[in-house]
Amino acid sequence: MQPHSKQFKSNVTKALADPELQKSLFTVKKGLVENRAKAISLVSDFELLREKAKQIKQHTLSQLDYYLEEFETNFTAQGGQLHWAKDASEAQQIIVGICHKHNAKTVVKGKSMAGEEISINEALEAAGIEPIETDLGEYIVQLANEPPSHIIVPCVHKTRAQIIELFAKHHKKYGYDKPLTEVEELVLQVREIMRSKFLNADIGITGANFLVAETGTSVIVTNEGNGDLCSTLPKVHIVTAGLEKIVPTLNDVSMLSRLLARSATGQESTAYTTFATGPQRSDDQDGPEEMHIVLIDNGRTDLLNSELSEMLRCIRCGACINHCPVYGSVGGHAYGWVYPGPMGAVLTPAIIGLEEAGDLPNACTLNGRCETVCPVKIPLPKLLRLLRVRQFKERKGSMIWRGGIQLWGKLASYPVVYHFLVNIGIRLLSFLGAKKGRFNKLLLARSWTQSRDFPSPQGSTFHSQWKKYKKDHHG
Amino acid sequence: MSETLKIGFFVTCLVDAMRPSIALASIKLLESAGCDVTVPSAQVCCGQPAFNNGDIDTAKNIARQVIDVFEQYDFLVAPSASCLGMIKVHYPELFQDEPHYLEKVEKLSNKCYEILTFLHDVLKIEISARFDSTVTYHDSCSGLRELGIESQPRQLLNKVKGLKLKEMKDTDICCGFGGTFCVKYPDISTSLVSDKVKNIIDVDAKVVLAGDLGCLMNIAGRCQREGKAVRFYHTVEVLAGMAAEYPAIGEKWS
Amino acid sequence: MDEQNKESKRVILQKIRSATKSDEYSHKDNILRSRMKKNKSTEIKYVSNLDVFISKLEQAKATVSVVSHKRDIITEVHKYVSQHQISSVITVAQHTDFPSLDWEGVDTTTQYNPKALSTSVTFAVMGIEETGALVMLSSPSSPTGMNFLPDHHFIVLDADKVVKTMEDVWAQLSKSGEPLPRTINLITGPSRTADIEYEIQIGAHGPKSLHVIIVKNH
Repeated sequence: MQPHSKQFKSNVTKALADPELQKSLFTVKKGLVENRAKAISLVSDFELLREKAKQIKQHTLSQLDYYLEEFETNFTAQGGQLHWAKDASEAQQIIVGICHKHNAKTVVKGKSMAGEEISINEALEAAGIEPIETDLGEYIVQLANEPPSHIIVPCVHKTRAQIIELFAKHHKKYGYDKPLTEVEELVLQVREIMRSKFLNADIGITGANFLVAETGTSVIVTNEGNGDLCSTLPKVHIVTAGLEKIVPTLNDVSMLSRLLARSATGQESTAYTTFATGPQRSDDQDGPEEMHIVLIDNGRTDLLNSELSEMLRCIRCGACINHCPVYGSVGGHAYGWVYPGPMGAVLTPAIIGLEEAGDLPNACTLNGRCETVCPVKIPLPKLLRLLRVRQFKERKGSMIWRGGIQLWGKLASYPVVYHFLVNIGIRLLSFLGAKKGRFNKLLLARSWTQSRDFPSPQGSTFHSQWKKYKKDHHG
Repeated sequence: MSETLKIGFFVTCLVDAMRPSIALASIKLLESAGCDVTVPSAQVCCGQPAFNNGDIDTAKNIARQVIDVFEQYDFLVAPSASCLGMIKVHYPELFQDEPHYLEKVEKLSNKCYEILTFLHDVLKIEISARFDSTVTYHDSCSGLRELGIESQPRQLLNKVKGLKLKEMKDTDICCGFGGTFCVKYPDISTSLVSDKVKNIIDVDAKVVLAGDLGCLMNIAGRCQREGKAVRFYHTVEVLAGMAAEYPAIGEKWS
Repeated sequence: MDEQNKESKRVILQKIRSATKSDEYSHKDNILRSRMKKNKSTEIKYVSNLDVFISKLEQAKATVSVVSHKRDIITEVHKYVSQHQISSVITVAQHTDFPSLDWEGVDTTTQYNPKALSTSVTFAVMGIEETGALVMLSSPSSPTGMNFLPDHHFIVLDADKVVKTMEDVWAQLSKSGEPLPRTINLITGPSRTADIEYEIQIGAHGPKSLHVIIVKNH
């Protein structure tokens, strides 16, 4: 999708003024957070699991070339076809190519953030192929012609009323005209519509949660069952996966899956974990005749070669997003691209560049809640700071702030001058504020006083008071 | 403790400018426990604003100043978890590439304390203050997550006569201050601090206490803008029995 | 492999190697081998008490019955379909542990037709206590679609085949030395979604109900 992270500030203004969105975000702030906490409290040593998970991913990254080749060997030995894609456009080209080869008209899709990242729907549509999102949340945002606003719950920004309206508008053509009210009815209607789509689609595209080097297996972790129908019924199955999805062994998957569902939705385990190894075997009655995996780089090798490489441990659980107060107040669309929240604030500038997404690493209070819930212990606040360092070095941030900080730094290296000047300022401010005890407008702090009062200081600075006190008492 | 502890007190730039009474209260508590407190005049800031805005060179320059000034004391104590987190956790990160200097940095990192933890964990101080009010305690994010400060301030407050401590909801969620964040992204900051104010009103506390002046100014400022009658003090002002001597944050001298 | 694919692979691997400072042939041969060995459970831990496993399944909104003889499987299915007024033909998978089930009295078929499949019976090779998961292997007589297409799904499991963890499953499967089947499904409960207002709704695209029949001492 076309990024609009540059308009972060105006996206934020819009989001904060949207009462429906604010209501929806409560779900994330409360439901997902509480469920995770409960699931984690049932594990005897979750911290140990986090450490183990981190070690697995870190080890894999340190030998990534080797494990990718191992994966290729074992996957192709089972009849699978592996495609290496340097960037989004190459990935699009590969997938559209496979579709054309099979004269595909329709594609059913499971949820894939890598697919979002390479704008696969746009590419398919441009090639005259109809992509059908089958995950309920993805289907809803597709109908609304919007990108997902959360990597786990794509339509978390939509209220039931908005979804009812969407279905009423789009499902008429299937002969549904009774207005719905209950969630159960909404889900059932989509189930009915989708069933024939699954059965008639030419190609199924899904993502992958893990790619297992040991066996050449692609793993998806889901609840709805749509991903499995996409990978089972059509004649061709294509997997889109970032190359950091690789793990060495099935046992490593077992360990990581202990953390994934608990961190994501607070489930001990999702309804389905599926291990697919190559296309259908001889005599099988279903399964795809061809299985393709498109291994996507799209900035990941650059990330690996940078100070942000720890970000590649991410298993896309969304816990950092759910616990981020900034996400909780502005939602996912404000971030302007595929990945929102803390993980998005690192990945987005890393993939599409700081020119496009310079606001994201800055729009964070560095409160650190994300890091404490990350199942693979990614030091997100540190990575966001490192992006700010990069921004500062490359002179891509605000020049006013840059100048201000440097001036402050200069002044701070002359304590005598600093204390003298600050004391003058504080005396003046105290004088002006004495009557009310606070200011509701301050010219130099408008961003503060637009919504907050600013307290009046206490007459003079501590250092000047202390100097006087010391003099009075000792000399 | 038999030997007199030599404390280098790090005022922090915000307390120096906006609320000296926090430093005075801290020093009073430290001296009452028998510490020898010095306030070096060659101190300004911990460098966090530069560090968090990507200006590593400036951050390092300021850090060096702090490290060199404070290495001579038994302990560095500061009335802010945020600044202390910078010194304790981030200074060593800053000097990873200077192994010779790093030794000095780590030494300081190991002997620096946020005031409330120092009073509670090291001095095991007796509290004689009285404060007749229902209060709620706001955890700062750096305190809670960088330094693990959660029980210490509460245990200290429970020793204050007349004080009733009530916990608000979502104590682990940021108030939206975030240093320069609050003026760089004022709209988001306002949304966060408004949630915090709501939680404070819901718990029906008369006074909010915290260990960081940044959070306090932010929440007090929003509360006052919304016209809510809640008062704000730094925890040490109450522990030192000095709250009555000063107007609460944002209030006038009567 | 076509030229573009080869070239992309070369570029990607080269970039990784320059990032991880590793050479193409630097004694990596045994990394996976040794990790696989180190990682392998030597002893498979079976569960003697089924209660935890059953409670996990029930938490995930599956229903469970424990029967004491394999002929009771049919009685159980019969009971369930009549209780829930399910009138469709039941598609039954085949499984070596239960070769000669006599489905007399129940309308069944072994013909797999994805377009008309509303109730099915399939057989799990193992259960996992830790997650309440049923381990389903695809095979010519047990196509994967039978686990996802029906509205109502029955899974039969031998009570002696419940292991402690997912790792035990891999240890057990690797004993045969065969490559993995095309598909392994770990199934814990019927399908679900919470995409609309975070309200959990059972029966998204997969089965709306899952009834697990555990057979003791068959």
